[in-house]
Amino acid sequence: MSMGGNSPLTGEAWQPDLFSGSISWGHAWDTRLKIVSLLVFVFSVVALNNLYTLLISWFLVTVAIVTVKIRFSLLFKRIKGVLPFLVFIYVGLILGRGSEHLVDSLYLGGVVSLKALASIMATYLLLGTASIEQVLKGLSSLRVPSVVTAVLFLSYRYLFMFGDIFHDTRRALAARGFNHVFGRKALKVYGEICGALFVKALDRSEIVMQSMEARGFNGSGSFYSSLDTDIQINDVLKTVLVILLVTMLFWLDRSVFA
Amino acid sequence: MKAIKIKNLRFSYDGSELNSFALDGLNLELDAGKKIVFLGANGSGKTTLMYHFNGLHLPQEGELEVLGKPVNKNTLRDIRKKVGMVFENPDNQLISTTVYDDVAFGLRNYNGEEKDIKKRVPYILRKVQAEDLSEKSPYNLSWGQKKRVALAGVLVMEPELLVLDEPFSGLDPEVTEQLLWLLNQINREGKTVVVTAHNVDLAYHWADEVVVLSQGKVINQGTPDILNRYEDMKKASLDIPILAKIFNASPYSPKTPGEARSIINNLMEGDKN
Repeated sequence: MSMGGNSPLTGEAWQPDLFSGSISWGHAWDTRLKIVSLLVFVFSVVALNNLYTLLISWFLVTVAIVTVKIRFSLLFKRIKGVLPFLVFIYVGLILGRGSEHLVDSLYLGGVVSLKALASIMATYLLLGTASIEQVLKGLSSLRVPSVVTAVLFLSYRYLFMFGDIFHDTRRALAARGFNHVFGRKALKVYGEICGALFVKALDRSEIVMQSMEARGFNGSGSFYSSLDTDIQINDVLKTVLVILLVTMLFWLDRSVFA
Repeated sequence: MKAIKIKNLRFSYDGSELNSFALDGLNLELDAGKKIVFLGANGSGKTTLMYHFNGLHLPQEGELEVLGKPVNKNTLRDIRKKVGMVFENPDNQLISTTVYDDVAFGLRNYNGEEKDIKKRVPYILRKVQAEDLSEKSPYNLSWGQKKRVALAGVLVMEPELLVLDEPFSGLDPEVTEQLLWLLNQINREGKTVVVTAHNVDLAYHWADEVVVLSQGKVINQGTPDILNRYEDMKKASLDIPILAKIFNASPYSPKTPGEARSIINNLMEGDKN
């Protein structure tokens, strides 16, 4: 379920649960077990050391994403935000360790990058196959403290609120003839916009908070009920499969490629 | 029973006397079970006062009693359960991903049973004529629909006092009429309805009682007929109702265009005869 009704955030790249209404094995998987499987997978991937096992884990996630019918172009749009950080890591490693360790640095950079990519893509697998509402309900069912789900949800909402304000500001600037060029004058305007955006978003979030308080919110209530669907044998089998794959990855990492 | 009792209420946003007070020594008593409209120009203190009724602002000076209870930190939770507050901009109030969850939000904050929530939410959505929106995202609705859903989110808690800040802003005449009809229904159930507005014509024909504010003070309070007092209205930077203007210095004081029409028709009939 998207929250960006009339904002620029209605753009596909901003809607993590855009494909949550499709039909696939991933969509049919119980959200609670999907969250558990994702956590097991991500923590395991982070613990892997070998480039080849990480390549296999990345390949497995890629196959999963293809089979749950999430568009690759859209996935790329989402992960491209992380790519500059990976480039920074590479550059930092190469420059920091000198040319004599170039191969080692490239290997290490590859390990870090694959860990990041596989984890992000796995997370996207969850968010792409369940609505935000389902994920939050799933977290509530897993007895995650309501304050954690509240923080997650409010962060998600803040993103859209910020986007709305950004959109309005951009439109107001365009209406008064501001064209997006670089230069001393334009930079001054950009600086002022950033300040105004921050203040406006802060103001708005305070009003939102007041409206929540007006309906009795004190940080302890939950936003969502727990999931009321039953866990099926298929859901358990999918989770068991993930655990088996993770065990296999560990065996490869620690024994075969060690 | 008094719905609201205010004695020398003062409030300033920075908590000091350096700047002007948003509410400046306000005194007021309002009966329960009525439709009350607060009128005033921008910055007159209407919204600040509404925030006090729900305990979003606590009195800095003076006393405030809502539904027989003093508004302070100890009574907040109880006050907020009994006083429903609908904000001017529904986008600030709608927070969940579906209309259903948004309406259920308040009930869940008061540990409502899911079984009960499942009954009450559809009932309230039906009441505000929004039952078909239940599974939709509140962010993709029209302004009027958003206002109805925001109202449902408050009504579901069955408040004794309903406070609406500028509920008619941005609504077309048809949706305004629908909302007025709904507020009448709620009032008929014995609930006190408090509304802020700029529209003196609306207050003139709809309210049981009006309160005119200016610069954080009560200029006048009483039945809608007090809106005929030109000097008071001028002091509050408001105009007198159009019907009051037309029938000024006549023995008639129609409140609605319908009443005015029938008076004119009667007068014309009289002339013919």
